[in-house]
Parts: sequence; C-alpha cells; structure tokens
Amino acid sequence: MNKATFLRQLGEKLASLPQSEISRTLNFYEESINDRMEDGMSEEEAVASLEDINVIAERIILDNTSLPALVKARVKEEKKQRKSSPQQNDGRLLILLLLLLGFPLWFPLLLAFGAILFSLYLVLWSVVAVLFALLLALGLSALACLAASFILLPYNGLSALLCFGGALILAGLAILTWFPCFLSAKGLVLLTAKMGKGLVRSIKALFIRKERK
Amino acid sequence: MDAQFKRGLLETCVLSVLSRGDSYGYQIIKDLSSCVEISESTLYPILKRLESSGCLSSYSVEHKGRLRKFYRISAHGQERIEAFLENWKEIMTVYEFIREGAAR
Repeated sequence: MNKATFLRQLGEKLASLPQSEISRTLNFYEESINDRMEDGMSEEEAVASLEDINVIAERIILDNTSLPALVKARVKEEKKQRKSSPQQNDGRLLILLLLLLGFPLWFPLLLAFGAILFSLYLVLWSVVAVLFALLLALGLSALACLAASFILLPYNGLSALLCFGGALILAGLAILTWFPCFLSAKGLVLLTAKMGKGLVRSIKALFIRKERK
Repeated sequence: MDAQFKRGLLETCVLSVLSRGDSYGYQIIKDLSSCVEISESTLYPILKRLESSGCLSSYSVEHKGRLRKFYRISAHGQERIEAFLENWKEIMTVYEFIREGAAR
C-alpha cells in the first residue's frame, strides 16, 4: 500500500469525526511516513511498519468519542429511569388502591388472626395458672391435713396418724408441682420478652426498608 | 500493567523526551525505543492529551519542502515531571518497606 492509499483509507474510516480532527490525524501519519522514508525505508515499507489501518482508526475514534458517547449513554440511562419510574409509581398507586378497597375484607381477617394468636398465648398462660392452682390446692390440703392430724391426736391416734401421712404425701406432691410451675412461668415470660423484641425488630425493619426505597 | 497506570507512565516518558529538547513524532518514538516500544497510534493520543492539558505546545517547521510538527514542553509539563518524581520517591519508600517485609 502506498502513502496516498493509506491516507485516503484512513480518512474514510475517520469520516464520523470533525474535519479538523481528520486533517490533524492525516497530517500526523503523513509526517510519520515521510520521516520513515527519510530514514531509509521505501514508501511501501514505511506504510507497512505502521499498525493496521483498522486498529489506528478504531483507536482514534475511541479517543475522540469517548466523552460524548459517555454523556449520551448517561442521558439514555436517565431517560430510561425517568420512563420506568412513573410505572413504578403507578404500581404503588394500584397497590394502595387495592389495600383501600380490600380494607373491609382484610381488616377483619387480620383482626381474627391476631385474636387467634392472642388466645393461643392466653391458653399457654392458663396452663401455667392451672399448675399454680394445683400447687395451691396441694399446699392448702397438706396444711389442712396437718392441722386435722393435730386436732384428732387426743381423740383418735390412728386417724391422726393417717392424716399426718396424708399431709406428708400432699406436701411432697406440692413440692414436686413447684418445679413445673416455676419453669413454665419462667419459660413463658422469656417467650413473651422474645416475641416482643421480635415484633419491635420487624417493625423497625419495615421502616428501614421504607426509608431505603 | 494497568492501562491507566501505563498511560500515565507513557505521558511522562514523552514529556521527559521533550525536556531534553524539542522533538517531532517519529523522533520521539525513536528516542523512546531504548526505554519502551511505542507506536504512532499510541503516541498520537498522548500528544493530543498533553497539548490540550497545557503540558506542551506545538509549532511547524519547514523541512525538505514539507511541514514537520515540533513539540515543546511547557512549564506545566516540567512541573508534571517533577510531581512524577516526587510521587515515585514516596512509592519507592513504600516499595522498600514491602520488599523488606517479604524478604523476611
């Protein structure tokens, strides 16, 4: 390839650039080819010692259009975002509308669900209450039997002994009942605290997510 | 080597060539060849960037019936070279520290 062909082809490949930039580039490469020829190369050799014409053109175009291309890409992106955001708003509006219209339906359901959860929680506490009632009953009857045994002692020794034995058995049962009572109450209190914390955390998470949006 | 890093290095190399005297495209490539191989399509954007950032100026001189474009380093270009050397002093200190650690 001779110099003229090289320069013409390069000029054609750079056609998308402003004229001043094209002539500047062609001058630079023409000078370079001339200098090589002056250095002892033939015209063909000088052109061949340059890089491939496509590589040269691509590099110059990239170097010249990078900023405008970037700006264009950014503008496109923003336009896309602007286009997509009203749709998002529409979606949110629709959800809000559905929530509002569905209020008579979902609110009682939610209330019922909450009531069921609350009643289950109360059932747990009632189990604890039953255990405490059992403890109280056993303790009181043990005391009553003890008192009866003391009252019966002057009249009927055998009956008094029987009552005393009963009192001991009842007291033993009461002591045994104390452990499940204490443990169940403690467990339920801990569970309540955990549930409360979890509820607070989930409410907080809801707000954080809202803020992020 | 990182492309951005290499570009910075080459720009300083070109400035260094010009700090030894005004020069033109092909001569710059020949002068640099002892240190780094560089092609026209690499040099051209570098010269353009350096000129637009005010590190060098250009002028044309007639040579054997044609024009030859010469480049001259500006005061700002000299400052860039000095800043480069200053930066590398720090980098070399860090390099030594890292090398000593690795040698242990």
